[in-house]
Amino acid sequence: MRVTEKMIFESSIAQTGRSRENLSQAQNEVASGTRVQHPGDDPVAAAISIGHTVDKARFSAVAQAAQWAADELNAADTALDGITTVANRAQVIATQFGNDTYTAADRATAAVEVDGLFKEAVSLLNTTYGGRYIFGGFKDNAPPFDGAGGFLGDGNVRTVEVAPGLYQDASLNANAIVKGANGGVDLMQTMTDLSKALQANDGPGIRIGLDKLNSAINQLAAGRTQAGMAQDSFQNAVSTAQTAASDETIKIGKLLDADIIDASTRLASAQYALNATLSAAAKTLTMSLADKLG
Amino acid sequence: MDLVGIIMNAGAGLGVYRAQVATVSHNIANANTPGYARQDAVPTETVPAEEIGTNGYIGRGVALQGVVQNRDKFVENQINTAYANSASTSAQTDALSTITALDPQGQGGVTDAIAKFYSSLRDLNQNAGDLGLRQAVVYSAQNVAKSFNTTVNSISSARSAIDQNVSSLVDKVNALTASVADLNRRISQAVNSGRTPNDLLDVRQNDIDQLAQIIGARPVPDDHSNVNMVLPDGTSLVSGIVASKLSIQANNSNSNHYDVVFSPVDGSAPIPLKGTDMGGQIGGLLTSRDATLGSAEASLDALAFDLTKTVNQQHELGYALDGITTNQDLFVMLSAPSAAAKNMSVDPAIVANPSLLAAAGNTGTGPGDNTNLVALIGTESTKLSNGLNVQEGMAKLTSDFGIAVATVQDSATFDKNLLADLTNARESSSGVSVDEELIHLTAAQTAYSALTKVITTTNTMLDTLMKLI
Repeated sequence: MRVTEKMIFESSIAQTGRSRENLSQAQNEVASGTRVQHPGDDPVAAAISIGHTVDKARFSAVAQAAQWAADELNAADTALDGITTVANRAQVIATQFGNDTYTAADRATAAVEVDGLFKEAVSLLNTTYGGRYIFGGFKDNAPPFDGAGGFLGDGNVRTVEVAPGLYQDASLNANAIVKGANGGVDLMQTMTDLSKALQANDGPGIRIGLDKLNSAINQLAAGRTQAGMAQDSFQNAVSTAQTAASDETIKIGKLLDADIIDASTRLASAQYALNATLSAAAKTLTMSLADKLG
Repeated sequence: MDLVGIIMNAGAGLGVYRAQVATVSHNIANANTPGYARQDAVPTETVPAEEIGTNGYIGRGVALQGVVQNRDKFVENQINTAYANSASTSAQTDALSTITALDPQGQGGVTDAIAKFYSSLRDLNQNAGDLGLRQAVVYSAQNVAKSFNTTVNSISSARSAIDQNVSSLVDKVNALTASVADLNRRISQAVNSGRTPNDLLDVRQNDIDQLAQIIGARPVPDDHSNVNMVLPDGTSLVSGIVASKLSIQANNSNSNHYDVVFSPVDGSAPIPLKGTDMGGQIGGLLTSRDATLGSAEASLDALAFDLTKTVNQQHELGYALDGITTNQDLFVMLSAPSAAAKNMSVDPAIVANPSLLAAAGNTGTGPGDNTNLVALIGTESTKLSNGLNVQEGMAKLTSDFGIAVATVQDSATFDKNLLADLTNARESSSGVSVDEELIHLTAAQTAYSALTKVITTTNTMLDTLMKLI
């Protein structure tokens, strides 16, 4: 093939340009740590990464919401624990003062303690978490229990995601657990009745409260079990979602991140190639018959 | 042959070698001129030779047969298409690779904004009555709208920038077609008078190359030394000594982007040309503008329209924090997909009052009612009009765009390499080798010196002869 000086010049320009392009690409990858910066760099990886990016955000949000739900259920469980203590003390009082050996004055004093326990129970049932009354059902912006133990909330239960698209109850139905809706025992009414029986020195009335308190304590225990199981489920969801989000990060990295060792090797190779190209071009460009002729 | 005849022959030879040196000089001077084909001053024996009785012939020296160009028509026929293809794919690569709005890890992109919007709904789902979380949902919804606005604006701007490029390239095409038509006239005149205007041919070839690069026009030589230029669809840009005009015209059915319009020389109605009617840079740029970028813009519009519609349909079913207000849109409802991404926005009533967010599924249930929020979160998986959910829609859009860019990048590399090979082949055939020219120069110089010696010697012989008189 006939080779002209212009071909050598053009070839030098093209080869130097190509070497510089390779060098620049390797430098970008090493500096940014990213292999796919533009969809055109790897369309399939770019498209798949979108799914993983959305999934990562979804799992992170699920983990956060599940953690909040678990924390709220923990607050509900703590409140129910306090109410159970209250109910247990009321049961002890009913057992003790159901004995007719106590005088009316003794029972009146006990009634004062029961009234105090009642107020403590109301206070615990109006527990808030994150500004919400956690036993109010959907009516969570106002105290669900009034001073007389009346329920002002509703029996709705909020659901929160434990996995994308999969929901679980994240609140308790205080109407059922405390007020005995659906055929149970109304704890607040039982305590009110106990107080009245103590004040009236009504031995049979005091003893009637014993069975009811026992049932109410069982209701509270069932509610705590429900809270504990839900809390456990949400904690598992947090752990699973966090792991899933972390996995998504790894998947995104595998798709889009540069292999630093590979990129560094290519960077070194591109530097060497550019150096060699420049040396070859410099040597070739100086060779001309014009220099040899006198 | 007499001595004077010898001197005359040698003198003619000097003229030939002077022409060769002049040609060498011309070649070296044009060694780097685009479109230049090296020339050879071709010597030929002077005929008829002088007959010497029955003993044979004595030659009459040398004459200049002509100055010819070295052109490889086979390569030049291919290089025209290679120029057009390479310019087209390079123009597309340059136009598309600068679009960063669809980068997979771009912060503030549509994917990022949509993911954050649904995350904010999940956060609100935990405490549906919380005004702070409601504000966060409104903010993230505004970000979704803004991300669609900025992404589509970025694509629209790129399309408008292409319009400006095409406009200036059309001016260049008009200048080049006028030049080719004029050169056709001058070359025909020269050829008709029996001369070969090598340098005009070079200039015309350079114009032809540029027309191939800019608009993909190919040369069609005729029998009158003219080169006609036609577009890939057969539209004639140059016919003999007449050049047609191209112009640009805003097309209101294509967002006022420019059409390239062909004005026939017969004065008939101008004809808009499609991107596929042309090649080269203009064809490539218009393909990028209307096919790849136009398709991405349309997909974004469809996605914005479908997302708005889907979220609004669910949102309308829910109830605001007051438990009464219903049938409220979250995003301003759009009438059609056209320009949806550009016009997407959050309903101003909700921006002003986040309590209008319809988290509740029933009237009067209370602020903790999150049942409509659960349904709103579910719209993340709702299949839109293209049969894909919003995330899959974005993935497809990114994939389609990425594949278009990668394909054109691969084609650009192939076309560039093919063009380099053909350019090398043409240069190998037609290019000037300075080394060769120096050797030709030395050869001509040596012959010239030798001929002067012949003249000197013959002159001495004549002197000797004259002294006899």
